[in-house]
Amino acid sequence: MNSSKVILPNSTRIQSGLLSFDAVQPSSTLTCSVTSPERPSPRSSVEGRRLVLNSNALETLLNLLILSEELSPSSWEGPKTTLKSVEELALWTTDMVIPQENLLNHMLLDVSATFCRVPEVRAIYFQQYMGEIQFFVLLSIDRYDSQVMDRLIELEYNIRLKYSQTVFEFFYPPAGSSPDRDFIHPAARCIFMRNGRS
Amino acid sequence: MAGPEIHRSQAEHNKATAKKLLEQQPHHDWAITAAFYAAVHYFECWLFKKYGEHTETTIPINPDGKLEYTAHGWREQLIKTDLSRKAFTSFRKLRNASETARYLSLSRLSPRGSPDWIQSPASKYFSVEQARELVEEVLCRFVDELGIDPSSG
Repeated sequence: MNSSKVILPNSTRIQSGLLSFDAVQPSSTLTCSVTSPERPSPRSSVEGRRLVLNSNALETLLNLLILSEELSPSSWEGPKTTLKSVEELALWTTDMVIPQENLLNHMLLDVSATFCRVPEVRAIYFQQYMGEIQFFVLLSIDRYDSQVMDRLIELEYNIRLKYSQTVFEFFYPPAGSSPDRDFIHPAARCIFMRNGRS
Repeated sequence: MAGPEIHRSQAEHNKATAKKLLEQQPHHDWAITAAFYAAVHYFECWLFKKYGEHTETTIPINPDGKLEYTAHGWREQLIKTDLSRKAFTSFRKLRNASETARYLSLSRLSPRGSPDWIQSPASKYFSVEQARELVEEVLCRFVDELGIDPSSG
């Protein structure tokens, strides 16, 4: 199981693990719990009345659950609900209505959930400068990789389209694979770190 | 502020410089920066022809009378809003590579820690082939999207 974790805006940390929740009763309150995995789950699956998510889907769904107070249980169709990929979750969230006051938190979580899917992303830091939202996406590479940059910039473009009124800056500094402390401004806030680094 | 033809002339000068630097190893890393600043001037030429403005003259002002955004940040917002996805991704790829070529680990941002993340200089971080791709393919793609017909220079 990938030990990546998403660092939430209120600094609460949730360790990745298997997450299951009752999706049977559309009108009931959606409840979920996070448990340590007894065995790795490489693919998301449906086991009885529960969805079992792999680590990528788990990270994304945790983001969604935390950010979306208006997440409606009726969004789920019932016991036959399946999650084939993180992309399905991402598509599903595009229809959600986000209150203005939650917009920044939503952005932070969205950026984390989006970029954590790229294995070369080691950590993500965020800071506000003037009126801009700036992200520092640290890469665990030692040589320039054109294909990785293409993928990152495509993801960045999708984020910019989604929050079209916000002016962003994205930086992708190569950070090698050193386990040392990230070399970033102390005012920048970490919103994602792979492999449990802190 | 320069007029559109000056911007275009500067863009073509920067592009020609980028091509020369590609042939002068190990200075090919600076070809990337020259290509990025060619892209900036091509865009400023396009923007002025379309709106009679420069990036810097359109940055919104906040209630305190100060600029709301950086010029780089605002320029990318304009590119995203007014141009194609291909134009945006090409420009961003050039800017990102250019910043990495100049700063490597963005050490300028931090007053603490050790600036030795990367064990090699930009001339080794970028291969000649990668620099050539940025100059000859990515920059040309961006110029194509602007609808500008660059000189052969």
